[in-house]
Amino acid sequence: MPFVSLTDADVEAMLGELGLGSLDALFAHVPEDLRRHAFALPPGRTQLEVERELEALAARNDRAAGAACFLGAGAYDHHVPAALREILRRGELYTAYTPYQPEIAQGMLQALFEYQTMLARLTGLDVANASLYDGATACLEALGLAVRHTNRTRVVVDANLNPRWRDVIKTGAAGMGLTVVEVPGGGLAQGRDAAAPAAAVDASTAALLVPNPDFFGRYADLKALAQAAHAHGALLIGAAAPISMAIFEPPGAMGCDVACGEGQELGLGLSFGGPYLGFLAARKELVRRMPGRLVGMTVDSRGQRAFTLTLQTREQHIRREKATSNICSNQSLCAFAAGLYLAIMGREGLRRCAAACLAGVAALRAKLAAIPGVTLFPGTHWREFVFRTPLRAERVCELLAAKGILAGVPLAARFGAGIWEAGDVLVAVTEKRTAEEIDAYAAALREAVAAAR
Amino acid sequence: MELVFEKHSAASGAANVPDPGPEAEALVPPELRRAAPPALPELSELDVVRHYLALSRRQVGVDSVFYPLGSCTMKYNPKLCEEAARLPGFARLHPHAPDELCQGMLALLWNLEQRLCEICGMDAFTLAPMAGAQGEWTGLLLVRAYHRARNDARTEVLVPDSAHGTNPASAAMAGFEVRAVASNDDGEVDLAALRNAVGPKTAALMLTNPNTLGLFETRIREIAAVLHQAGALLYYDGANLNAICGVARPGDMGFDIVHVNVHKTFATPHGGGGPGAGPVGVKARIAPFLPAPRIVREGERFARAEASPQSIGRVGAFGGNAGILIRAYAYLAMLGREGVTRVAQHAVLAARYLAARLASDFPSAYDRPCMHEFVATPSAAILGKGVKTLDIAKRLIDCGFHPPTVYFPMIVHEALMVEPTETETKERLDAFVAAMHVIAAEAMATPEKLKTAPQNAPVGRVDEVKAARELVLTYDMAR
Repeated sequence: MPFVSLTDADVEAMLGELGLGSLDALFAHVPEDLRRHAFALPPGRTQLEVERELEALAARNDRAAGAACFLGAGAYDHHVPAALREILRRGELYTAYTPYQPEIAQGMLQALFEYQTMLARLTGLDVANASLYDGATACLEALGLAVRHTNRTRVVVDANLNPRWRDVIKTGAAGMGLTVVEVPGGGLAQGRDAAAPAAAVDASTAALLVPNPDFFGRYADLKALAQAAHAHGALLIGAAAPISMAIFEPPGAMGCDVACGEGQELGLGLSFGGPYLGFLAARKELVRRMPGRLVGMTVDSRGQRAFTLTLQTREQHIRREKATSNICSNQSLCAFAAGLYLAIMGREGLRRCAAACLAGVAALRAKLAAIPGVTLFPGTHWREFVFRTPLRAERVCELLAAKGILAGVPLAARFGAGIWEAGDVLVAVTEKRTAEEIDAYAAALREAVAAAR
Repeated sequence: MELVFEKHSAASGAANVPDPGPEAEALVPPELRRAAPPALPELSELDVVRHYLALSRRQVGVDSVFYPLGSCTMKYNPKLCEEAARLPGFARLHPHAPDELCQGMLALLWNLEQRLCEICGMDAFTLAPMAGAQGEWTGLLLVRAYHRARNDARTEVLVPDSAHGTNPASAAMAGFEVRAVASNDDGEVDLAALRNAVGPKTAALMLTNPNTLGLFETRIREIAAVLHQAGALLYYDGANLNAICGVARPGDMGFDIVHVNVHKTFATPHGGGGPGAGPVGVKARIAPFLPAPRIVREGERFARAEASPQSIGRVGAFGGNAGILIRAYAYLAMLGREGVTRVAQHAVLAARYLAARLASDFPSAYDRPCMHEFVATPSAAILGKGVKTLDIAKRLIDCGFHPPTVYFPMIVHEALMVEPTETETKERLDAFVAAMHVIAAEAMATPEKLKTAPQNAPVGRVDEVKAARELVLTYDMAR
């Protein structure tokens, strides 16, 4: 029998010690009629059989997993360094529980402390927590933090935030007592607009949440928004992309009080949407209102440097219904991986990666601009942009998929109505996309659009 | 040990990435450009590998030692499951890839949902929640939506006083008022207290079964009847599903909504605190409220569907921690029908055996047969020496064991919560028993040995008070 370690003789001896005649007797106090169900599950199989089944299932996704991936919209096909994959297989790390016994968890604790430091430095803020579930829940938790800090419940959200993240905020808002006001953050042709978000902040506003880059890959200067928020005593929360911060002014330097977002791009791979990494960084005045675990530096009984979970009085296992969040299991191993990724890449490696995205986007945009019938939109684009053709976007994606190119996300088909139109495709270019792939993309799109004209 | 920021080497990992040249950065307007680069480490790849390998040596997991951490189900994490999640067809699959090209992934997830339905006695499952607490929150939003759809605005969620902290925290986050229900002298929900607490405002009772004391709630059907007669729902916290998996089903007990912790029952690793996954199952009448995306089967084809108009919405950016769910699927596929039952039987046997063999020095808090875990306390003689449960835990570290959960549940004084799981050998269980009795003897003869433990760990006892008082959360705050 797989994964049980007691032999028949052990079982007999142990039952004997307990004065029981059978394994069923262990459940004698469970009402008998509750134990009658005949479980309709398939019979157990050997490792080899299951391995073959899983390989076959995985192979059925190979056309997508092996394609030139220009998909983004919240998850990005960045390179995962081999050294990272290797270290993540250390059983001491990935089979550990939450580090409640710090003396034998210094490895994970120190790595998370280093991650917190790197995220604080990257975002230009003072402190970062040890992970939340994903970018969407990090935004929701950041809004909760602002509500606790300001004792206000109205939050203003730039509608150019990832629509899935906006959905999660809506899911959580009522229970958390938030009143969410969505404001337009600028159309595709018009470019980003700070006027509407700034004007929406008032004296009852807890926070203004603004993406940077926005869902369409466009960067903006948030300093005026910071002024507008702070003038009313509200917090400015920047939903940001970690790799971009190697080159772009980070949220902290633009006046954001909180930065949050998705850390998937930091070495986590795609994995069909998870596990990913919600990150949350803030000014240190906000730390006692922060959700999630925090690792602190201290000393041991011999005066040596040591690390431990700290400020646990914010958390559910101490504060119960008054906790800053219900989060318990988080995404620690993903935070560990993100720190490891940043250590492997280093300052220069991350700069090159961010620059390669800029260069790839510029190269693809230049090629698409030369195709009759393709419309591009203005803005400072880092890793992502929208283009429009006269075809339906999902048709464009189908035609390119047939050539081994996942062209992007058809916005209307995937996200319903928005500021986009039926022909709009959101496309991402990471450092993994080669010049040949970009050429092939442009050639295939030219053909598709020409055929339709 | 040095921090990564205290190490430097001239060569750095930048060599991994070609330099696209200065033209790219020139595309960024000056006001959007970062003034000074972030102070990230500059190390050779080899030095990075050595740093993290050194960290891993200062950490223990289930792969290192016996880890009888109560309420956490620290069972062996089968290695095939790790391999499976890393197959390129899964690991490199983008969540926005069209459904037609992810049929293998969707088939796996759909099948996992079916198996969880069968194991829990539920009609539908969502795999979207990314951890147990997120499953609770999702479940409570379902409770809220269910009542609202019936124009029944119920505001209160009941939790037993022995409940895990996430229960009240999740209920509060879902907008409910939390009311505690007392346990009786047998460690079960006090039915009289429950009847007093339940009323027209009650939306649900959250319950683990077996409960957090490791005891089966024998009057579960009566509990369910009390809730249902009052129009309220019964929520199953799956933290302790390992005890009954393949033996009895929450759905048959009267539970309406369940979450399961795949990182407990279904052997996915805990990752040093996560990621896990917290799928939520429901009875048919609650299914319309499940979050998006729903995985649907149309003949031989699988697709992701938007949720119904009554849905609570989305609980995460994508469909959940797929990489973790793959592991759970692989584990269940290997176990099969008999294997699932055997897991629960052996988990309960191991716990019952340890409880009996430890009883002389560490009597169980309740004199009743336990399920997969039990809560013990040090004997009066040990406590009389001024030794605390914490000291025993730290001394166990010196003996090569991860300590049990301590000081939980809060209703038991000096609690020591032991959950051996089914994956340990009898020899290992016996060694643990022997170590605990040696520690008990030490507590009587040389209590200092316990109070100054651990001596054999990477660091001595860590000053947690100083950590909270002099807050140092980054390397820059230390300088």
